[in-house]
Amino acid sequence: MKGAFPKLLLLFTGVIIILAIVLLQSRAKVTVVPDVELSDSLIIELPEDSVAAVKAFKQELKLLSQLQPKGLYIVVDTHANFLELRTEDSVIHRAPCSTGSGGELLDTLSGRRWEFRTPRGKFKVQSKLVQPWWRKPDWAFIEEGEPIPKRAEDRFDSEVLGDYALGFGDGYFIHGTLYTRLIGINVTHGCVRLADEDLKIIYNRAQVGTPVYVF
Amino acid sequence: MTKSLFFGLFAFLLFAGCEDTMTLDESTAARRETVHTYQRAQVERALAATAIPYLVFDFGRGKMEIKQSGAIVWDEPIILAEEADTLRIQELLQETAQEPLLRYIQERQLFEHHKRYADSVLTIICGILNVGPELLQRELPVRFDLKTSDGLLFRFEASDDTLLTKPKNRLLSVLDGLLGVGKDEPIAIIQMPMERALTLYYVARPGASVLINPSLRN
Repeated sequence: MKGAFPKLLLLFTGVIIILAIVLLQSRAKVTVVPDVELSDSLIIELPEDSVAAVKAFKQELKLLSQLQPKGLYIVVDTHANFLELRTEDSVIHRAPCSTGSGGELLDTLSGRRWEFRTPRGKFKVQSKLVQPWWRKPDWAFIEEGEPIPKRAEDRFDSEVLGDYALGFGDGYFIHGTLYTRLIGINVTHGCVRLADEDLKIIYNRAQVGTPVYVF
Repeated sequence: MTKSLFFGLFAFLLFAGCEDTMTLDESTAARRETVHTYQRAQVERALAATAIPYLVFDFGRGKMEIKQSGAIVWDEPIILAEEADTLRIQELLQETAQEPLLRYIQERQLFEHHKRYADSVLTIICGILNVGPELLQRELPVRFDLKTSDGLLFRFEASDDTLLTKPKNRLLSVLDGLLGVGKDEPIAIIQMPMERALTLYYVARPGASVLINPSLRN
């Protein structure tokens, strides 16, 4: 018992020290940089005159309301991996999707690097394709350890994109997939993958020009 | 947000047209609320000019939104854990929400969560994709706090935590309590399904912009 007591005391002291370190670290102040900082001087005061004030107020509301799309738009949530076709007030269709993995590929021979991330921002449907073919870019071969083909026709694959594709710019598409069991996980090279039935619904409802928001 | 702004316009027109019949306090309050609505609209337009998502907590309409470029990209009703909180929140917000117009998330603290994907599944996928599991794994938040730059604390709890996981998460809560973590009093405890909370949690990182709309005066 006498011999055990110092060991127990040492153990207890060690636990207290560890807990204290954990607590201190959790309390450590981290400087947070706001995404947006607005100077007070940029905020315009409402005019004192009632007529001018009503005019200014209505104009400000109008400008803000114009930012919200009227009608259908597509939202891609890359955090939860869901795609929605919606309006301001309601969700018309919601479907699990797969978005970019965020992984990187480096070609050690050429030094070229690719980041497989679905781009964030506001886009528009630019094209609608039926039975799309995939023109495989260089990274698709490098990733598989295959030589990059010299003939253009050797790059095309008619199977992997599914029945439809909606392009939203810079070579990114909403399309189908053979790997339906992976839908819901960030596994793509940047495009947005949907299951066949969901893709059909989105394809049929969205038009060229339909806004696409990716966040 | 647009509807609440139009209510503000109505309040302002009421103020502008009926000033003679309102008391001085009422007209001052209506004018103050209108000015705030007008300035908040300017702030939101500035946020919408960036491509960065921002949060809108609209206690007037009982709705939380994530917006990007001025469009709603995610929304959930504000369901409070305790009904009695509602009046206290409205009073607190009406006192505090006039300034500042723009807040940001100062702290985000995750207390309890589930892994969205099983480790065994991720191991296989990560091996194929040659990426680390941290890129693909997502945390399904069961309980987390968001604190704004001016100290408003919002607590979020899962409305769909399972019977099997609740005991483990309760133990973790007790441990947090012993360590003094999460002791601050939240202004509101809001419930939502974990899958929906996931998006809010990831968007509401420190630095994310927040607009808070209190309840409009009746």
